[in-house]
Amino acid sequence: MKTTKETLKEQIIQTLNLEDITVDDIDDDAPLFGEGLGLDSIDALELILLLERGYGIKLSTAAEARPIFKSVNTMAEFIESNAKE
Amino acid sequence: MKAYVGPHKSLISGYGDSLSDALAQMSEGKTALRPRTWDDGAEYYAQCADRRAKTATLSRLEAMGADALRDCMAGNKWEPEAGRKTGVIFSTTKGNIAEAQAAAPEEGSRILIYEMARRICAASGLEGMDPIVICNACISGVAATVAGSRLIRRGEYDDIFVVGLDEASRFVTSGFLGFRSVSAKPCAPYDARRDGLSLGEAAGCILLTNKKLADGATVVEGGSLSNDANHISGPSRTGEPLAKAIGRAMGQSRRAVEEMAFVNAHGTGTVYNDEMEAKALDAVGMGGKPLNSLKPYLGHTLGASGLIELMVCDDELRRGEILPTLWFESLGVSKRLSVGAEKQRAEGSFCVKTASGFGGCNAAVVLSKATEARDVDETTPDKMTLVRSVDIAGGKILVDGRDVLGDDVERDFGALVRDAYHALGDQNLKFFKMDDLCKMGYIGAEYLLRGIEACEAERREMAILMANRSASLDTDIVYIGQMEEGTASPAKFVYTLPNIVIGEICIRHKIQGENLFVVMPQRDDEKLRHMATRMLDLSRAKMVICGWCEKLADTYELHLELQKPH
Repeated sequence: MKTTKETLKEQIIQTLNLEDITVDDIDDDAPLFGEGLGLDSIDALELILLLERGYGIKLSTAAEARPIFKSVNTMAEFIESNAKE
Repeated sequence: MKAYVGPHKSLISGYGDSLSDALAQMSEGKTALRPRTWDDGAEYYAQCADRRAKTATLSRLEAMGADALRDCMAGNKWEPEAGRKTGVIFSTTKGNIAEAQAAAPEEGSRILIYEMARRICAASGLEGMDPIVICNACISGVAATVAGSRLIRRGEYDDIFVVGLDEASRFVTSGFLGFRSVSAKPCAPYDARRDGLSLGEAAGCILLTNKKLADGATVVEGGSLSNDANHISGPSRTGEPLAKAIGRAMGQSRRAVEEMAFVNAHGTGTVYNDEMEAKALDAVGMGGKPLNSLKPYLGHTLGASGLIELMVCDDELRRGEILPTLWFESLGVSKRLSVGAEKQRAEGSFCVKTASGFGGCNAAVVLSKATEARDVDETTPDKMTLVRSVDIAGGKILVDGRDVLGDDVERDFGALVRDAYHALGDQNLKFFKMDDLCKMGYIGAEYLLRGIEACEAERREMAILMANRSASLDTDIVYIGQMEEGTASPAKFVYTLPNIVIGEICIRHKIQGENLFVVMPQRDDEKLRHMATRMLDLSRAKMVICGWCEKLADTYELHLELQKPH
């Protein structure tokens, strides 16, 4: 069975159209924004929707998302402790 | 030659069916914003012309536009006159999007923005008119005024009606809510508590004419367009490109800040827009000048906003007093601005109106009292020489007619742009996030500019005029489908404006010069070249990208030219 992190990486690649990137290219602890994958504010909105539609977690403000979207590790951790499935 | 503004301006909005009705209520401090609730229970405010409806032959927006155009004609006692050439410029972001389905429209459908414009002209007694349609995000209204005034001064037309119109449709409301750009309260521009915009809808019309008008009239002087070359939705972090547009509009009009009465900025009430404007206004020394935003009255009326707000500026300039920015309490931007919670005296011979929008576009225009109007410097090249052309059509990419992929592989659109991207050896993670229109324009510009020698300043000042038939409908249709399925995506919504393709090209090549997107019924290279020299300011441009970029369902066609103006 896939781990939360693996599933999450696949979802990130699919949601954000990272066509030339594979699951292996994304480090668990690497920053998602700025450097690394070069994600921006629009990608952040998409990730908020991913949490909402994929895991039933609603973030009330975009500012709340900032520490959660630091890396795949922080996102996976947040999902594991908050997911409503 | 001067571009006078006809004394009668028309405005159809939530305030009623006339500008004077709106001005009277605005002067009493009344907003036209009303509370609304979205499907998911989200609360927001919007300004809607609730009493307006479609007619037997016109859509709701067409009926509003036709009423505005007819009212402007009648109010200015305009009649067709032998020997005088009349034009109509439309400024809209989404046209009849409220009527669109999640499928490609039939030929001649009103969903095509040009068709909407043509119908409004016909309903206003201007059958056979070939309107100019500017579809350039939220600067459309200011850009249309700038382009219109240039066409008058450059002798292309004697009279031009500029019609600005957009609806607060479910489409745009869904998109801006998804962007988390909409405040739950009425928007509060420049205020420390601001947290988003309020949408609005309107149709307005002004007459620009070369006929010398009596005292009390106003004149559109210099104007300028620029691009941030930074991000397709986030405004510049420095405000420098907007500052440049303001400075150039002032310089072209030979105006100094000291004589200025006031500035009416875009002031949407989003955190980043207002902060960017504060930096730009500070950079041009306007921080101490009376400033207001009209969004708390009318909401953000998108393609209409720049035009209808200029009408209010016109009234304020003549009265020497500007309206307060409703709900303003304490300044929440990093630079000093003279925003008022009360009316401010604002004496001077002219004012400045600015707008900024998605795709990184900025526009500024100078409006002056006719009695004190100055001639605008119009020394801009009117000829161009072709340097290179790129065509993308029928599974091929041709540079100056030569097939660059050079194999006999048959490719559909997706394979064509993907293979071209890889053949170019480009490393840009943003490429695959783009919609098809942008991918095609991006690849086209890549081949157009590859190996062209230009210093940084020459690249920066490059001008761009692009056109197509169906605007961003290819992506609009996808977004409507997402809305119906409850999976609306902000990353899709941002591409529901055709000028985003210009924004992507500007970001990639660091181009900050004049840029404009227009919608036409069919490709006409000669006409586009003419429009580039007549509607843009090419005085600083050493190079111009001019051309066609159309994508709708299975059809696609790009033809870009790199031209050297002289």
